[in-house]
Amino acid sequence: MGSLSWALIWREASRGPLRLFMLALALCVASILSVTLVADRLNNALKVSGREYIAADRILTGSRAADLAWLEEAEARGLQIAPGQSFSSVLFANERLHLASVRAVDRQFPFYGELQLSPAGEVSPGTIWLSARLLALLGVGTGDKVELGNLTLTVAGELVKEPDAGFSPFLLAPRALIHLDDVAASGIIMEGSRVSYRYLFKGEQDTLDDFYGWLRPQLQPGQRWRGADDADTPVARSIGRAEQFFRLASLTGVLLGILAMAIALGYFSRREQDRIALLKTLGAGRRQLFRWLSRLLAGLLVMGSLLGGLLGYGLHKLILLALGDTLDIPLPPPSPAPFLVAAGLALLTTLMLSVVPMVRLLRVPPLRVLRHESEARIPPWWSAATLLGGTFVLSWLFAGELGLAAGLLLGLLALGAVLGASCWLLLILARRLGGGIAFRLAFGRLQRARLATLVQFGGVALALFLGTLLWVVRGELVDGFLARLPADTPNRFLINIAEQEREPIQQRLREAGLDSSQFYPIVRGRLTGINGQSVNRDVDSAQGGGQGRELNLTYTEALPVGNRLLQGAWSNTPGGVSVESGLAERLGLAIGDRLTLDLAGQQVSAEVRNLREVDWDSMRPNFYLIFSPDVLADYSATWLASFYLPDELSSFEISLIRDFPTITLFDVEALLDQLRAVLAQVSRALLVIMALVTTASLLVLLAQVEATLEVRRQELVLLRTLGAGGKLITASLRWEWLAAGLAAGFSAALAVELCVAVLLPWWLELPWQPHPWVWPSLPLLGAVLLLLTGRAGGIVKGPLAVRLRQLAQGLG
Amino acid sequence: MALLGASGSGKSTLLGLLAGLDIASEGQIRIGGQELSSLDEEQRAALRSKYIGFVFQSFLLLPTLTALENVMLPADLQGRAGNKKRALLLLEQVGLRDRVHHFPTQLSGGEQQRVAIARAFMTEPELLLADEPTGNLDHHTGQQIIELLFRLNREHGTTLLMVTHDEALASRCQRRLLMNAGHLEEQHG
Repeated sequence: MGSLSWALIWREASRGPLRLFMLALALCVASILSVTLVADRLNNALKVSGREYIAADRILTGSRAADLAWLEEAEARGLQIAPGQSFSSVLFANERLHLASVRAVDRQFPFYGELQLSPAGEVSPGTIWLSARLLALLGVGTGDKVELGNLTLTVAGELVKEPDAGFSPFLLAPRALIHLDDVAASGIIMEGSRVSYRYLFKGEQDTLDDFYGWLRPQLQPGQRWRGADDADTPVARSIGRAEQFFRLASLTGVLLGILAMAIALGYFSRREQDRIALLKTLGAGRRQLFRWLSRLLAGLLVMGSLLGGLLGYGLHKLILLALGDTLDIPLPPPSPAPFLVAAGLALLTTLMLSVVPMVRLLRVPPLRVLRHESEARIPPWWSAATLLGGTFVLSWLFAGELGLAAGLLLGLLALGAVLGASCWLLLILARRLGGGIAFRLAFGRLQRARLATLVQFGGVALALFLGTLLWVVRGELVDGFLARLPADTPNRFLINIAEQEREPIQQRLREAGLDSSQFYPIVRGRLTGINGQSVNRDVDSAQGGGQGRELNLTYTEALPVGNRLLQGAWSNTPGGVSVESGLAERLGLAIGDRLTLDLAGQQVSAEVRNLREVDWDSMRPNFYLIFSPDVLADYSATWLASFYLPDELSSFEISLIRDFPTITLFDVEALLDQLRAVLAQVSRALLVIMALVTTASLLVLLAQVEATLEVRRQELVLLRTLGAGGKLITASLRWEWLAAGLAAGFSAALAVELCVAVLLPWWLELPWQPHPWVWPSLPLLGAVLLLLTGRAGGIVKGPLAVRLRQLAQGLG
Repeated sequence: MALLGASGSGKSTLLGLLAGLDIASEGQIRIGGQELSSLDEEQRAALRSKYIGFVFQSFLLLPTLTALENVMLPADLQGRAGNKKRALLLLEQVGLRDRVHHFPTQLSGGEQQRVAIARAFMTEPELLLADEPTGNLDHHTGQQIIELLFRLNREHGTTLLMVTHDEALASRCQRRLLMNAGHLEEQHG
């Protein structure tokens, strides 16, 4: 082939369908690359900084001190240990007092990560480091004295940052750091005090694993041995959901891109048949044409991949920027893996999608130059088979799970069937309505070319469906959570309220005009047996809380607000317990089972009466186990309540603590703020990928409109020849776009509601809510978009006569 | 030579067979001494490229190539380089010297057919097949095209087989064949 073929390739590539193909390919690449780059860099960063997050290789935590023999054993095995304790206590200075979360460590702390102190220094006996907030609250500076229990400590400076602060159980109160040796002297820790112990271990992986093997049988309930990989906070859960959503969005972008590519290539191959037939007539052989087409595709592949690569890299930067300080970790440079994945996707997709069009073109009989109806006979199921098979293989490769790939494939098939069927029904209904000649022409066309119509509607509906599904899920994910938190969501928790303090505190709250939650009695206890069998003492279990560790047990007469009964009935008859459904599932509990609990060394038992669903994100006091009052009546309880404290009443907080120094007040406002900030950042990051998916949807529409033009070509030429005016043809096409848009939008709305009803509870564990807005807006959006892209696609635009003359010449 | 006949009488079928675009179910067609039905598609394409030129009713120019490039295309497919001079000469002969860099959409129907004629002579074919070359043109332009076609045909010494409905046009050919329900008969007078 000479230089001409390059001119031909270049000019073909920059025209209509192939330009769309290349853009769609670029979107696919950008979609997969941006998200995998973000995930890759985050994961690598977490691997590197994971141990910095816990400041150690392993930690042993618990509400009781570790056995001295364990620590000696660990040292004998060559492990380094840094013990520590956390508790909350009130600090006094300058006639002021404030609750602080105090942490006591020794000089070895931390093994990894950085303890930032200002001015630089170290933790030594007799001194205390205070967070900036505490310094301000107490009105003290370096060198001032602060009282902690029986001790007077000198302020050494500001505690700027602890590497493992995120894992502290007392994250929410302002923080103070002292030396471990001062704890005993302060006299604060007494029998029954609420202290959490934390031992940091450093050593070789194998030594640590061996030691854990030795230690494990001896661990007491409530003690946990942990690595760096688990965190169960609302923020971590939100980020986890967001990551799943990113993957869903990226997959959606890829699917839409593939759809647009398939439509564009199908359109290209049908249109190109005439030209290939001409080239064959003029003497081009199959091999020559194969080379020509291969170069064309290779060129598109390279250009699309490069464009997509640049776009994807830019978008990943944008996503990271939007996530902002949610990611408070230094990111390593990107690894080559995401680029290889994206390039592999581009190559496989192009190969998969081009098989049928290529065969169709290479087989086109040259006789077509004389007889326009002759074309290569390719069974219509070939296209569907390669598209579905290819999608299956691709999702298998990229998702790495056969089941998921099969599910995706079946889902797409089912969705296609629903979309096609509902579009078809709507079409029949519309046909009954009747109308002017343009209307009848449009519907006549749609009804005659049934298969083409179904494919056309299905493509548009799929694009609308996937795009909308993502917007709906995103809304649920980001706004749904905050929307379910009412403005007066409790932002303060009161715990450790003694029985005799309950009434006065309730009185104080009423006087200040503050609504509090119910006051719940709290008895601490551990679940030790189910139906007489001792429960698994594998306290390392990462299955979530509930068994093993100490639980806050309560009793109440009525089902607490925000709890929902799933099984059984609420009853106050003696000897009963109500169990949170998640815990029941983990422990395999059913109604009628008998639970045994250890309450400060004494055994009590109760029968499971009902299972409850609890909204853990509600910020209200929530409980795994709620007993009938008789079960816990003999045990001394402290009380717990939550209330909403408006900013302007913050003095109430100080006076309450002053008057009731033994109670503990948690300020969860900071946690709520953190949650809101993270959600806002995640939401912004999601917008980036949503823009990508929306663009992919529009590309599908554009490709579909272009392709429809091709299908309609013969008929339009005929109409023109029969003397139909440009206005009539334009009007009939507009009717067609309108019908397609409405029908596709309606079936997309149906599919969105169905899919959301399944996805939200099952995948995101969020309750389903109807989305009435999709019903009017999707059909409208579909119609408007199709009419607009129809205009932009060039069929209705410009002098129709010119366009039709090109069509009449057979090579337009 | 003119090939006349009513619609559906089999003119286009015969043209397709003669060009090796289709295979005859019976009988033999020889071009350049070679039996067409014994060749595969690849060989038939090579044969067309060597011996046959085409002019179509709907011009069939590639819209992405300029007039000059369209004319050069058949030679390019044969892998013959340095053919630009000949293409320019042909375009000059069809009166389009000043429009060589225009794309088909920028040319009128008559001009497009001239480009198609120039393209047909590009490889110096021995046989030129024309399928109703004036069918898409108005009478006046059609006349000009026919004059051009006949003139070039004479100058290049090519055999022209033209399918047409036009009796007047057919009468200017040396031989006239009438296709009637698949049967050919020679018309005289």
